[in-house]
Amino acid sequence: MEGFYKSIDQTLKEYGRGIAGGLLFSLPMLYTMELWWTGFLAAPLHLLIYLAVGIFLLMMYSHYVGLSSDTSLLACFTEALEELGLGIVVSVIILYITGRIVPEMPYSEIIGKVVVESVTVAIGISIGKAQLSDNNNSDKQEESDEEDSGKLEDLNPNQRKRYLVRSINLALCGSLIVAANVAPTEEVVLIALESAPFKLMLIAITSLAIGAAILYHINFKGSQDDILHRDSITEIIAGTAIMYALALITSAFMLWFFGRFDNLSLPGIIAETVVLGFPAILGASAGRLLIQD
Amino acid sequence: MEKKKKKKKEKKNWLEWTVTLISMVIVSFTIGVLVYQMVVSEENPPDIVISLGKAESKTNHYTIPVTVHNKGDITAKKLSIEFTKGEGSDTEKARLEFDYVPGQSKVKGWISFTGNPDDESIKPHILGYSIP
Repeated sequence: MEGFYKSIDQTLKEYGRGIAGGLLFSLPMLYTMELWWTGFLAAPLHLLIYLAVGIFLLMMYSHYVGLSSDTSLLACFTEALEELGLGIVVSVIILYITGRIVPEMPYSEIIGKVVVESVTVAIGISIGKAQLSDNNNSDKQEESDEEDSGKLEDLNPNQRKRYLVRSINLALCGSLIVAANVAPTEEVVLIALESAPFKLMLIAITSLAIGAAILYHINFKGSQDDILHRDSITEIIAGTAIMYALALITSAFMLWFFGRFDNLSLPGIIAETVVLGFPAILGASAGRLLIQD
Repeated sequence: MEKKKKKKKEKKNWLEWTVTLISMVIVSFTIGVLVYQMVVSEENPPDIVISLGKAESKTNHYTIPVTVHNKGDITAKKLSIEFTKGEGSDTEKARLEFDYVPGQSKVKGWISFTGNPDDESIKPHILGYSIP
């Protein structure tokens, strides 16, 4: 297998696209007060877990979407670190020019703020690198067509497994990037605590209905090629349920990270998760169709 | 699948290697600092120390800069401080509130009085705060 080097110009353009994507997806967060607060409120252990989850999602994303699929885990890991490093640099610059970090601050506050912001910037960067490309890597397109054409039933068990993991990863990235904009805000708590149970039920039903519609009915660009050749109603129900479950898991993780579960009763925890589950399933369904190849 | 394997493999050029190396350093540094914090960090409750600056004369009033230093490790939330100037019937009060004073950090504010304050007679009183 002979190798070749990308030109510097191409590389610079790729980083440019990445940074543009990173800013596009995460600027709302960089401009959100609650996120700056999380910087000094979150315990170091929480921040480490958040970073680890971020690196894991970035690895999965480069494995299944960004790089070609025969790349090793190590290559994905360096790719993830690279994106995270860029994310940290971009976060530092934006937080500095907006006056959110100043040299007099204790370093723990600066690190906290930067970590909280950089994970979403990094996911944005990785999406930007994969998606905002001008030629959209025709090779890769071919490859994914090859893999994804044909019905789910025609795939061999290995392909099925790969396909499932890829879908789960896309849904997690999509829901994280969309829900992260909303998760830290007070509004989630307000809606959750002020809504009567039947309204929460309506939110959950609306989430499921919109998720199902996006995935199986309204034919977003790309949705036919990729996921959805399933016709039977049980598969639609199962697919939607899986998606909603992933959205709820992302929501719960983010709410926990932002300290929204502290000293809260179980019904309160569920209410908040359902409220955030709505933007999260939008991310898991529509967002995911936008961020895949 | 076979066709794909025959495809030429992309190698990283020097720019990509540089970015990757710098990124690795940055990420390891960040993780290192977090681990260090986790190991050494103490969780002392907020310890609020208030210091007053020199009074300045404005058009109709006097302002005094106030520096609030949280010497503890835990953030003080919704910190409220009352300042009293003078005694008896001359008493004048001012109040300052801060949403957050993170541990080991300082925040600044100003209080104002109509009469000329002399530093000695201003008494700060921390009304209260919560822990997030």
